Amino acid sequence: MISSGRVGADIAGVAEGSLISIIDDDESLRTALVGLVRSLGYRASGFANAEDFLASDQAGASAAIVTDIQMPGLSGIELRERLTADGCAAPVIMITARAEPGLRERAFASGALCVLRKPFAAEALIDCLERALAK
Amino acid sequence: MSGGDPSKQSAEEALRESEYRYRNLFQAMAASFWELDFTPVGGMLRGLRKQGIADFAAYFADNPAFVRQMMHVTRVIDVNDQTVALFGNGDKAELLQPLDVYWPEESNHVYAASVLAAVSGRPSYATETKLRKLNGEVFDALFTACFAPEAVANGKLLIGVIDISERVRAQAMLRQVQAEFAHEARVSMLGELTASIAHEVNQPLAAIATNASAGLRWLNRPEPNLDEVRVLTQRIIADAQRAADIISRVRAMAGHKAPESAPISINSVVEEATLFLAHELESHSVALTLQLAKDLPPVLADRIQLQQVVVNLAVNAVQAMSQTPTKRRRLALCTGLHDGRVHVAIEDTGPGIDAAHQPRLFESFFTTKSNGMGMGLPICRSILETYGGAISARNAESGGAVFSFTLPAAH
Repeated sequence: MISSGRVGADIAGVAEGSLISIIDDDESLRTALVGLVRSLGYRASGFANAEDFLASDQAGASAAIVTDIQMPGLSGIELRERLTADGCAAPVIMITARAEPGLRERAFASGALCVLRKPFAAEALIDCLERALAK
Repeated sequence: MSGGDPSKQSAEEALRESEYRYRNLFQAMAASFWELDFTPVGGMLRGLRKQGIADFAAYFADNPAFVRQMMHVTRVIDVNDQTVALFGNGDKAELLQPLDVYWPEESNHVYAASVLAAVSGRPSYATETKLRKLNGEVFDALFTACFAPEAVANGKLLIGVIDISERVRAQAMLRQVQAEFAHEARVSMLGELTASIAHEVNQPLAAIATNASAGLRWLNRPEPNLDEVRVLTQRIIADAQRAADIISRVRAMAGHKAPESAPISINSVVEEATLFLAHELESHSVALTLQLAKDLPPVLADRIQLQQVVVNLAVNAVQAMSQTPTKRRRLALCTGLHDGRVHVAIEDTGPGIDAAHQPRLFESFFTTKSNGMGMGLPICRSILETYGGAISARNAESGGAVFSFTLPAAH
């Protein structure tokens, strides 16, 4: 699925060492996403909900944010709106397990860079991350 | 003897009268009556005492052959017509045999309990048991033994038997129909929860795929990092186990296993039910609160059926909150203990129960939903009643509905 050549490129890339924040209330998926991002050579920190993330000082330091849309408390879309209001322009990748009509449109309208449907191929997330970090 | 003393004469007349009434009743009653002579049993019990055996109950339990022998020396001295009709082949004489003929092994404990009741001076003993007809057929019977002091003193004992096999069969059939109904309802409920179940399985699958991708990347580096791969592989095993657990719970819920009573923890039932609810709650923006009392005694019930009740009530609660603003949607699942009964309450923040609907809530085919069958609550009630439980509904002070059920604590 992933060639060694690509990995080498990731590590050598300009974004090496960038901080990616990951917000998902499902612990095992969050841990897995943190692990994937680290295997790409980035730094990663995970949060169980949007409130914890906002309360940390990571929002301003994040080069990109990966967030679930449906979570207890603030949703991923509400998080994006909150970040915009706070003047944080970090690109946001949204992931969701749901296929309800209009959800993708609302996510993009809030400013999401990518919207991925779970379960997604790691490749798809990596492509989104590369686009986010190229900004 | 007759003549002389007028008071003696009237006493004899009264005795004759009483005897006549007794014989008449004995013959005319619709129940099967037996008169038994257990004089030799008294001798056997005295023999035990001489050997220093005082705990008859324990001795009977350990020595079934002794109990069979007591039955064998207990003689049937008279039976009524009803007994001939129920047990025999039309000839009363062939019924006057040792009692063990009528007593299947599985009912030994009932004979033992009768002897213990007689010895301890109780006036009677009654229970449901199985007895055997002369043709060998074993049937369900309501058995009563009556220990009138003057009769016992003469080694005599009266027993009554009522054939309850029809009732027992009807009850068994009712239980089977109820179990089938409950199963149908469960399958239909699972159908409604398909999206939630798919989501619950999807999460660990997404985690597995992601962990595996990360593992490959660590392996494909110029210097593979095996420590990272080891950690990721362990996570993959844990996530695969989680997915397998979800599948096995769904399979248990969908399965058609005969319900069985076993001591179970109500808190674990509530926690397992949330598996089916987690995504349903999330997708309807309902916040869940669990208030589970510590150190609750177990209840005797079928785990899957109780899960069904909790999931059913919770799904109803979520549906009832469809018009509630999302920020106010809350579902509370609480457990507790009160007066020897374990309580479970399911409280929502919906509009509450319309007073006009309250009396009919648990009736079959009563529904307030456009697509509802009106079978959910009656099935919940019938499941709970099977295990000695009860269900009720009221409105909370906050205005939402509270459905609560209780089950006797098992000891």
